[in-house]
Amino acid sequence: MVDEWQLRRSELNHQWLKNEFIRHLRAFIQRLSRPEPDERRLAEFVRADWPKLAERRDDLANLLATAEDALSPRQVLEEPPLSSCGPETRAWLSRLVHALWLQRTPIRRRVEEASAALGEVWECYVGLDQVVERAGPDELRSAAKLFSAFAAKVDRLSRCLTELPSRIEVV
Amino acid sequence: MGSELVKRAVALWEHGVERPSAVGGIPVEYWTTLIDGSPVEGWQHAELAVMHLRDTDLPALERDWRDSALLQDVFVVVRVTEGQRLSFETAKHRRWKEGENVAFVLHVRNHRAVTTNSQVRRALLAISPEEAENIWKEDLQSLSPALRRAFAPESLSTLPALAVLCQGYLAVQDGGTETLRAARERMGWREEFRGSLVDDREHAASATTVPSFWTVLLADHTKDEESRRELLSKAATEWGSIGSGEDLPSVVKDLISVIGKDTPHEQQVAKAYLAIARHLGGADG
Repeated sequence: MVDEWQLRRSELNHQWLKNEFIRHLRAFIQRLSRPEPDERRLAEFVRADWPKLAERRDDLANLLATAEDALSPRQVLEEPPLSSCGPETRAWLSRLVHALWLQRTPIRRRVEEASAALGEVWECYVGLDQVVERAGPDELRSAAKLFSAFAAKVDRLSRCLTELPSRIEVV
Repeated sequence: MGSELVKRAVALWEHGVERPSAVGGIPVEYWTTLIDGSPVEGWQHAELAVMHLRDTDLPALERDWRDSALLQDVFVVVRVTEGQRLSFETAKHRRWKEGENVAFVLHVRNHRAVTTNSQVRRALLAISPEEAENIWKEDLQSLSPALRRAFAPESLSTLPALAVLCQGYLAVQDGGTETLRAARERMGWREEFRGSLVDDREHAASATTVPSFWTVLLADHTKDEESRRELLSKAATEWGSIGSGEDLPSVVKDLISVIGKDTPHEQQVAKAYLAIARHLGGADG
């Protein structure tokens, strides 16, 4: 389960959010600051990149909703050798190692922070989406500061996702 | 530091950033220190490049590497990442060939070994063309232990399982020794857990004191010496695969030595747990 979750996180955060969306968003904002921005490339971002955040929002929310389960050390009891423990033993050991892990690690706080970051990104996105849908280059340029503020929120979301554990922490 | 290594330039590249503060989470200062403390200069003379690349960068890099001033003398690109990435553990190393020129793209598969062990980092920077070719062929046995650790995926199952059993055992003990308290504190124990996590604590307490609680760790639950030796060997291999390559400590060996034939003592379990927790989790947490 953790492998599948880590791959999803890697695909969503590293490969798409960080390496595609943020880079393209930064380039878009930079173009907006030029006296005569390349309209074709501005339109290309609006057409190809911008809608992807809406398409991926549920995936991001689902990633965060499943983080605690996927990263919990009770996963160790689902794999050999501990998967061969008796059902009673596995039941109480699972509860115990999960509770201990919650004591040791701020996983819930991190997931909450990431969820709040996603919420802020989405709120900002919905507001800007109305501008993006109707606006021409001049209106986009006048909203450059809003796009920069949006980019800062997306950066924060990406950092929050990066900070989630990259392996099961049993101890 | 060998003089051969000092003469060698090391190039850094992270998603097109020329002077990143870190590559794959490894501070750049480290790499610059390796080349005689001077800043990384003369990119075009690098023989080895440590790079943080996207999968999608590789085709373009392969197309351009012989014409690139940055890469023209590079015979090995060591690909690093931030944190442990599963895709790196299974990614195929590559060999680029153009005429007599050959370059290898090698994926570091054990990021933790590289970031925690200076010997592993040094071995990476001192990699030879022959070693690069052997890594590309997945012939890890021919490598030095330090280099092998960088390119063998970290695989832990015995030590985490042992740690979980130790937590279960320690949670239901009534003793109050200093070692037990330290182990419980380390594992995150709180007194209010007593009763709330284990429905039938007496049953659980007695379950942990019978040999069968621990024998799940032994192959086919066979309680013979050979199974214990096998378990010891697995634990020692996993132990050596992280950190600085130390031997399995005696407190862990002592615990394993009684599994399947006797009931471990509270002190034995607490000490073994503390050692495993320090090793797997780092000294501070």
